[in-house]
This record gives sequence, structure tokens and C-alpha cells, in this order.
Amino acid sequence: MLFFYLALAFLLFFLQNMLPLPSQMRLDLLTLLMVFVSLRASFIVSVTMALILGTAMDCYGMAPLGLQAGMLLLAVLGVGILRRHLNFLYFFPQIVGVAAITIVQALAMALLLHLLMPVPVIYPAVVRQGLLQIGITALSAPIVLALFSGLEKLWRRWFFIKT
Amino acid sequence: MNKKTGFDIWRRFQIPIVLAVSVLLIFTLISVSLRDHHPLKPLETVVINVTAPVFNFFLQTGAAFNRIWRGYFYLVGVQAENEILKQKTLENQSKEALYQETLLEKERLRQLMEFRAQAALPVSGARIIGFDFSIWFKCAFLDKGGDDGIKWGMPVINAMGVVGRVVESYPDHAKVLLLIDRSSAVDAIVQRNRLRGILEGVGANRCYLRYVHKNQDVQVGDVILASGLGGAYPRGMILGTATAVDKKVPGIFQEIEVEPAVDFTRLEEVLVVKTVQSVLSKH
Repeated sequence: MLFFYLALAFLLFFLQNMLPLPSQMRLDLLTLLMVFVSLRASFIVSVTMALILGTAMDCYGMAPLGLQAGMLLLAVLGVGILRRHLNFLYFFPQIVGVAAITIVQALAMALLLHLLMPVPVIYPAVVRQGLLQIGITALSAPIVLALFSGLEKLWRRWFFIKT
Repeated sequence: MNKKTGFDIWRRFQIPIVLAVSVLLIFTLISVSLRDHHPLKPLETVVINVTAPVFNFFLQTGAAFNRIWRGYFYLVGVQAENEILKQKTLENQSKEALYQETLLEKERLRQLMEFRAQAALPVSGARIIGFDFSIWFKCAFLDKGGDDGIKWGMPVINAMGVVGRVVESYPDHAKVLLLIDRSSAVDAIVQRNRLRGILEGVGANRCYLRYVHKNQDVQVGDVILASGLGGAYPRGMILGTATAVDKKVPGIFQEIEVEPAVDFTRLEEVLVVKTVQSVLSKH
């Protein structure tokens, strides 16, 4: 299934980074994918995905290599801790769980950027946008995770992969 | 007593080992890539060269579907007013859509060409093929790079104003730091009274004009231009418009919020100014 996860990651990476959506309307699809992969795949597969995807994101962004990989690794660890609450059948715990993971990611990112790059990070506009992104990502988590699950089922059916 | 094999140890401590190695790898990557000429540049180049053409293909395919989709609705509207268009086939609809898109593109390019002639700058046209529009970073990717003469530090502009500057140049692509990125800083002047300040991005589609003393006169609606000092951008290029002025903030400087002249969510074609040093020397 690693190939499926990588293909999906590539598609989402394109959707997230290549389409010029309004800057206030960003849904963090790749974190949601990492949550999904961490729930479904083994720890090693999840960590491998986080490293590959994070490095690709860093190549396309301004961050030093490894920073986004670190944030995605945090998502993997977050799922490890909150696994019981991220059950696909319960929407509210999923929303809270994903919100908690994205908040931890944002705080860690702000802290690391503050340490690594001596330029101000926190502005009201950035905080607003960050909260909006966390809100949108968390609220859409049940739908997006269900969509990933559906795609995974289709993939398994097409390629006769046993669960 | 059973002897523990290496496999048993691996199975038992698999998660801590993988986690420790990953964290170590991530910190090594970060510390190495923070250097000015880090040895991981070839890795970046490989990732960009492998993935960018695929993204470009996706983008072109998406644009084609978009053209057909928009063209369809356009023609549905026209059909109500024009009997002739009712007999058009799906093929004609696609052609019409393509035609419309070409016209729009032509208009955009005409504006760029006019601007190019007015500005009299040695420029090279390029297309945006991707963005990093996260809350932390704002950058764009161009479909041209080092092989087309695009180098580090070159300013990127369009007919509306300053877009940003090239911060990485790969053989076929280039990475542009957008004006709104929080690490972007441009020496700027207020057009009305030539007051100077530094225009800094904050990472959220807004900029702030810094280091303008509270007793200096800046008003909402003032146009902010690049001063040309510092060598980053051609003098007189429009950066944006002041949208809020706050003198009640602590300290000796006022806080001036600036809306960039460029709509970064709708960027498609840009101009890369080549040999900016010689342009600056003319002024």
C-alpha cells in the first residue's frame, strides 16, 4: 500500500501547492493524509512517508530541509498517542484529535522558525490565518479521512489486495 | 534461558529505534541545509526536476478541463440570446472555450508586453507553475531557470507591480520569494512625500512598512514604491498601497499596513528582470 499512499500524497501535494487558492482558505491535506496513513499503516511506513513527503515539501518551500518532515513526524506521533480517539466512526473526537495535532504542529513550527530564522513570526494576521487553517483542517477531517478510506478500498479492490 | 537475537531486539525496540533515527536525520538535515552553500542542493534539484514536469502536466491538463468547463457555461449563456449557437456541437464548444482562453491569455501577455516596453527593462517572461502558500512561507515556482539565464537575486515583477525575487535557480525552474513572505524586506518610499521605510512581508497576504517615525506623514491610500536602494528591485516599481496607519503602537515608529499591488492568488505570468545591477546603475 505504500505506493498508494505515495501516489495519493503526490496528488494532494499538487492540489495543495500547485493550485493558487485564496491564501485564507488553505486546508492542510498532507497532515490529514499523514493522520490517515498513521492510522492504517505500520509505524515504519508512516515515518517513511513523513520523511519523503516532508523533504519534498521543503524542496518546494522556503524552509530548511527537514523542517516539514519534522512536522509530519509530529502528526505520526500525535496519532500514536490519540489513536483510540481517532476512530473513523466518531466525528467529534476526530475533529478534536486533528485540531490538537495541528495546533501542536503550528506551535512547534513557530518555535523552530523563531530559533532558526531571526525574523518575527507571530503577527495577528498570521495567527488569524493559522487558526483558520487549523479550524478548516479539523472540521473537514472526518470527510477527508472518509474519502481517503474510500479511495483506499477502491485501490485494494482494483489491485486485489487483502486487508 | 532463551538467547535474545538481534531480530528480537529489533522487534521489541522497533519504534524507539525508528523514532530516534528519524529525529536524528531530521535535525541533521536542518542543520546541514541552514548553511549558505549546503551539500543537499543536488537533492533539491533532483526532487524539483523530477516532480515539477509532472505538476506542470497536471496544471496544463487542469487548465484544459477548466477551459472546456468554463466554455460550456459561457456558451450556455450565449445560447439563450443567439439562435445560431444552439446548433454548435460539443467540439465547437471546446474550440470556443479554447479561443476565449487564448484571448484572455493574449490580453494578459499584451499588458505584460506594454509594461515591458514602458519599463524598458531587460526582462524574460515566465509562467508560475506552483506555489508554497503555507502560513509560514510564501514562494512560487517558475517554469524557467538557470538554463534561461535566470539567476539568484533577480527581481520578479508583473504589470501590477513587484512579485518578489529569485532565491533559488535550478536548471529548468526557479524559486521566487514572494513579497509577502515574512523573510522578505524591501527598501521602499512613499510616492507622495518620498518618505523611506522598509517594506516587510508578514506571511499573510499583507506587508508592513517599518521604521517610519511617528511624526512623519503617511496616510491611508498612499502608494508605496521600491526605492531602488539595496539593489534588490528596480526603482519606482509599485509595491502596494497603505491600508491602515496606526500611531498608537508602542515605540517611536508607526505601524503601516500595506496591501500588495499584486494579487498573489491569481498570478500566472511574470517577468524576471535580468541584469538588475546595470538597471540600478542607470538611476
